[in-house]
Amino acid sequence: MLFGRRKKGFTKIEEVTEFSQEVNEDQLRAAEEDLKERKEKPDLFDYLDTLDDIEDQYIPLEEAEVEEIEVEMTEAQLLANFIRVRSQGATLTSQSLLEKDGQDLKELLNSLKDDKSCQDIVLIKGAKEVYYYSNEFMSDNYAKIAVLVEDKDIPKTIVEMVRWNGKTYPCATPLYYFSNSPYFYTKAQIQRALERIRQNEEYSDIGELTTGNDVRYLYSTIHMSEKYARALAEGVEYGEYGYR
Amino acid sequence: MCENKSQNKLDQMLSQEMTRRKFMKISGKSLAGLTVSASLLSLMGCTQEQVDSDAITVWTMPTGLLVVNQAKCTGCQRCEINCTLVNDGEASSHISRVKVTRNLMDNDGHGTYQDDWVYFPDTCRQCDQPWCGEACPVEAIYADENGVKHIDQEKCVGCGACVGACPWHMPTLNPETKKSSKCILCGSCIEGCVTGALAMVPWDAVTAAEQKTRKQ
Amino acid sequence: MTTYGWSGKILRVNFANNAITTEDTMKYKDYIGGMGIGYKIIYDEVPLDTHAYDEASKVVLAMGPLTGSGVPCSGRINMSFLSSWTKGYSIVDAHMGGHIAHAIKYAGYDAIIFEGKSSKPVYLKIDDDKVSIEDASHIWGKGTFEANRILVEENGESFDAATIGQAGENLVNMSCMITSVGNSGGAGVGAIFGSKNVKGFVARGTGSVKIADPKALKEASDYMLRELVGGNNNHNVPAVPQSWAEYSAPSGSNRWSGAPGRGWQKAEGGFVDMGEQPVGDIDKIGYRAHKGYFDHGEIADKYMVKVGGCSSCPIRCYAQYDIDPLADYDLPTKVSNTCMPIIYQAAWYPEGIKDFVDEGDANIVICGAGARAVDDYGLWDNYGNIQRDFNYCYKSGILKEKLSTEEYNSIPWDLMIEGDPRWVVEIVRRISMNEGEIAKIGLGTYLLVKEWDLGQEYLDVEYLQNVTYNGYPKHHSAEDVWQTGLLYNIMYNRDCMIHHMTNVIQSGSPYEIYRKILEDEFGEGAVDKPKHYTPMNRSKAKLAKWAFLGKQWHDMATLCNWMYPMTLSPSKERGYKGDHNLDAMYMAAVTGENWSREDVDLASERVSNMLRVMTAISFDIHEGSKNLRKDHDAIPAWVFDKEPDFKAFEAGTVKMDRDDMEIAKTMFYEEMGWDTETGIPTRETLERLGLGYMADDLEKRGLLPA
Repeated sequence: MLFGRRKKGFTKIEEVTEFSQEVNEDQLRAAEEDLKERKEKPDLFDYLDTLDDIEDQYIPLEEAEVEEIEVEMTEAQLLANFIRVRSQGATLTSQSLLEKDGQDLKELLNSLKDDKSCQDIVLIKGAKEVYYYSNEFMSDNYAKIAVLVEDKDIPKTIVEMVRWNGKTYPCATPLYYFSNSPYFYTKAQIQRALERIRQNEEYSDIGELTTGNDVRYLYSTIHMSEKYARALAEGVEYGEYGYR
Repeated sequence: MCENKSQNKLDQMLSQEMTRRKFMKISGKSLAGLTVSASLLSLMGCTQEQVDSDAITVWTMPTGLLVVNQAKCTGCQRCEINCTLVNDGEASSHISRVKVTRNLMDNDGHGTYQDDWVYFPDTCRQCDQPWCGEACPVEAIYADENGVKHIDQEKCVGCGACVGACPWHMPTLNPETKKSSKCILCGSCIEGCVTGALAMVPWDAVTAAEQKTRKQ
Repeated sequence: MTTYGWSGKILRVNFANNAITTEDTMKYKDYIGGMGIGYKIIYDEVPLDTHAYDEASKVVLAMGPLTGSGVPCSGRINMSFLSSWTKGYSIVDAHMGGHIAHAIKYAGYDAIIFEGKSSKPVYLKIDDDKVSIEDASHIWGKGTFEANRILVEENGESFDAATIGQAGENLVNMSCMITSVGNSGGAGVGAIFGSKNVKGFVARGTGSVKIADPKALKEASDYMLRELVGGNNNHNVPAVPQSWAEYSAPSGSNRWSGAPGRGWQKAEGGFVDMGEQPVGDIDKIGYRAHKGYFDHGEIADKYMVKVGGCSSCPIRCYAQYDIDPLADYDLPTKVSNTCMPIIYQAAWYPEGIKDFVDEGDANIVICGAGARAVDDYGLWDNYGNIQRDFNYCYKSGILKEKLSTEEYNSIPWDLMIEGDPRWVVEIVRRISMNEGEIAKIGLGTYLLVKEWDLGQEYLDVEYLQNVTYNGYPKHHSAEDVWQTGLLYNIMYNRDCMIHHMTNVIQSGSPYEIYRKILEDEFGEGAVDKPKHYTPMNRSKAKLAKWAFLGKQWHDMATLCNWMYPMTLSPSKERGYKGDHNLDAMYMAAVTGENWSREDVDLASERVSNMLRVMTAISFDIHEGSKNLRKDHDAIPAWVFDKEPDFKAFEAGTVKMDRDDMEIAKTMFYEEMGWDTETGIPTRETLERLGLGYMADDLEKRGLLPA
């Protein structure tokens, strides 16, 4: 008997007539009408202030227990938290960013090193900068990628990642890999970088191949032969049922 | 020093309580037609466009603001599973206090079989003047110190008056126990949501967002 | 008495005399549920010489103790029946997801036996304990989308529905049943329902699945969600680098495709960015699977509304699209699927397809039109064989030869050549309506070869992907794990549907990580380096046996084999190792009984042997064969002759070696306790599994190995 009797879901409010004390619905509707007329959208908090208070007989605050004592955090711990929040948001924290705050950074970083609760904060050196991150929230491998991206040396980033992928998984690396997060390189950027890779003696291990569906892959001869790289790349592109 | 801290903490709690009371005014309602500040949007995990399109509803809970984002509900029913596992010790859809299945298939022209994917979890509004409570002939429905309405299982006679009285039919008569039950804000559904379509923003964060908005 | 996990009752519906009865599930407890109950009932009640469309034929639709229990990814249904389309016409299964398995369990049933034949079109209505047979004349002849919509509308709130389309009604062998939006069970089940005049069923359940230890179950589920589960196919590293992750999959074979900047552009209120999904964050798991991106790349985002999937599953593997270019052709734009229908429709266009609005959108638009069409008509693709048969027969001139000139000229080939999305709808319509000679493609590959006299060499063609000579293709086979994959691919009477290994090999994890995890369990040499395989060894045979048995477990429990078993984990702290004890933990928490991994394996082995015995009996009846090794497990030539530039075992090839594969079969049969000459289970094996009665049956038929 319960089925089929449901009224509208909560995003649409029913007409209420019987409960005179329940004024909010009417208020809301009036406010909505008002809004339509004025054709503007007030800020949520401002809007809340315009509504009458409603009776709330619960939670007698006087009786609520007030919890005691938050431990005071040291400057170093505050800094660690700052770095952690950024790491959680996939962002490195550069030394120069910290220096902007004008504190004695050296001492602070030293006390960070000594603080047992801050051992997750580690540093990684880029070409021009030193970066900090929390390895609790950011993996070391990702930090390496993030530093490469920060350094903005696209040929070097591509070469290092093609080598690392070839050694680690092992696999050949499609060019489209570098248009994904966190690289987001454009086709033109990748093309320019490839030209520079070809001119650089140090990068002579980097080979290129094109699969049957015209997808370009890079591989490093340090880690695999051209034939093997091609088989790996074709395996990916051909997949189970044919080229994607 | 210690006293100051207690005072600070009390101040904080008072302002959070203020915030909560303000939000009680719109509990269970869509935010469409309002502008939400960037900091609050970020906490709520949604966009102004979703607010404008009627996809966002907020609920005032003792511990925070419950945000329901229909654009993110993928109909997996894990909210219902968690609800019934925790509250009833079994897996069910019908007696779940949070309701998504009844919106999932055919919900007034929307839903899986209506060529769109508009569905959302729905639950008790914890009304200030509860229809269910007023309809109960044996006064089995009571409010706890947080204003959450419970059904006393000892007193409940399973008449179904609360189910009929609730405009949204949120209390549900368990066909096996013949007792009615409803949401007690345990939060299990939120824990189980795999896309954040159900999300809880703690009051201190909402308060902070309000202060930030006011400053601007 | 409360039964935990199991609902306790099996519903038997006879459509000839409208008798609706229930039986105690517990008499089948040794067979667990799903496929196990299905096999036992078919074996007991349907003589194996029955034709699939005879009145005596039955469909056993069954769930298991974990279905609807709240265990993640437990929303699947197994349907067992006799095949209408494969060599030997033996037992096959259809597997269907969606939300309706939960509804049936909550209504109080572990299984439904569909038997007899109705004199007019009907559907079955299950409303808790009120079960009735209802008139279906108003939906007969309609597609599944409309039929399902009408059924949920007319039956009311919270009802779910599953129906067959015109293909099933017209007894097209390649037919399926559809629930939700594009969740289907195939293997020809549509036509068996059609032969019974049963359009489908609706279900609503207000009850529950009883849990012996709900706290333990919640803890085990949360443990899985926090530490074990990965993305789609349980791939355990993200496709794109994420800041918390050590590894990602540089190339595109990984299905944890949700990533920062990717998402659903057509979502209500605008773009939903799928962001990062760190291990442990339950509220973000639903953004890991981005099947749209995996299938179609960046263009998918443009048309995505949301993601979806089955009840209880945190991995939302269905991409839900609104592909508006289709509106220009007066075709429906809302499309949702995760499997072949949404990736393989371009094969209907042997002359190629072209872009519509944006560069690179040809495939997604065509697949959108095709997915909607096959799901609406309820046409099953036999894992792409139906498209490949069409494509090959067109290109090789077979179609022109077999079709009358009149019919050939009536076909709107111009639509095909222009890449018009209405072409796929038209060809699907012709096959589903059984219209003309071209509809013979709907017989399935095995019978098409017979009907058009194409000869065995047709099945040796690489493009056609047949993994045996029995009428079905490979499904994640040698390209992942060589001998191992091929071994379990040839065990069934349809494509194998085993994802145990592709979930590991294509996970994106470094080889050294998954090698160690598998070798620790199955022995040295269990898994070879990517694209560089070695000769057969004992560890590979053990691995193949594990995967073969495990798939049966999932279709008994029921759990989704696209996700289980939890072999790998995304957690660095765990060393990326999953937990193979999880299924037993779930069984213990749900049923309150003692369950170990050995118990799970034993139950799976029992049903695996039932499959083998029933296949042997069917091959004896229909093919006069007493040797499965020779007649069922034979592998087409292309598997060994492909990639002419490579020798077997050379780095970079999937080409198999004939002698090595025979060694592989022998080792596998030994591991299974089967006679190595015939590949048929021995009495000793069957007795050990409590299947002595099957040994007796084999003996009577002269099939029991000496």
